[in-house]
Amino acid sequence: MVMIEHLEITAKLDNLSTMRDFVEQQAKQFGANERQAFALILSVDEAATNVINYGYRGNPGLLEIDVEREQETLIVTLKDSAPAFDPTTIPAPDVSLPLEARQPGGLGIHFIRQFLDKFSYQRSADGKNILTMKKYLTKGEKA
Amino acid sequence: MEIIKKTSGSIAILQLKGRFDAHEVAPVAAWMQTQVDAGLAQVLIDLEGVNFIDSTALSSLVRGLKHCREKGGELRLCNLQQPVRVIFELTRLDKAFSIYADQATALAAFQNIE
Repeated sequence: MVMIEHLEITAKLDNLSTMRDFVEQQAKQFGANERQAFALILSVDEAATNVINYGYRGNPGLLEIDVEREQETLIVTLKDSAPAFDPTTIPAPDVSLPLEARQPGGLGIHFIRQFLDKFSYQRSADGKNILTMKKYLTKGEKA
Repeated sequence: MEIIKKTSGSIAILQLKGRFDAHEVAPVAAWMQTQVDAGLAQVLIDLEGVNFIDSTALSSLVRGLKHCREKGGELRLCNLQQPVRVIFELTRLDKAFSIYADQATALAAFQNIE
């Protein structure tokens, strides 16, 4: 059986807390522990912030968030209608560099890669960016 | 997020309570800039009440640290909770910042360099 919960919300930074609360509530309802829920909450926050700041760039838009459980995997899907952009191609920041030598940016995607088990992107036929974020509930738990 | 501003001698202290995310960055960044512009580059940020921080908020602290150091000062942190400490460790920024267990220890560290 697949269970899905859906949220559609205006893409703006002051809605981040509502998005996180939604993901936390649904993830826990679907069986996530604190660490697993945190991984998904942080990932959604980072991905949504990227869409709001660099996708819609202050223009009005919507974000759609689905949380679902498929067997032993929690899946959070984030959809937006901003110009096509694949965040999975952002290079990993070099966190071994001293502070003075570090380049700004890229940390959000770094967190997503570190905390999630799978993170993928596709552009839909109807012109939406679709980010799929997966966290296993049992084996192979990261972070 | 709740923001409480205090001073202790020449040290500007900011206590944050709540979730420190991209939406909350602007007032904190503006406060840090005001301190540095006024020559108050000794800054302590108390994160005891913060149980969530994202990369935008983290980057604002990094910018604040750089600005303070450019002015010959320092930005120190104290009272990191576990979900926040994890984020610092994951980015190895726990090595870049001076992090203390509590305000008293952090304030003492400022006194030692003055």
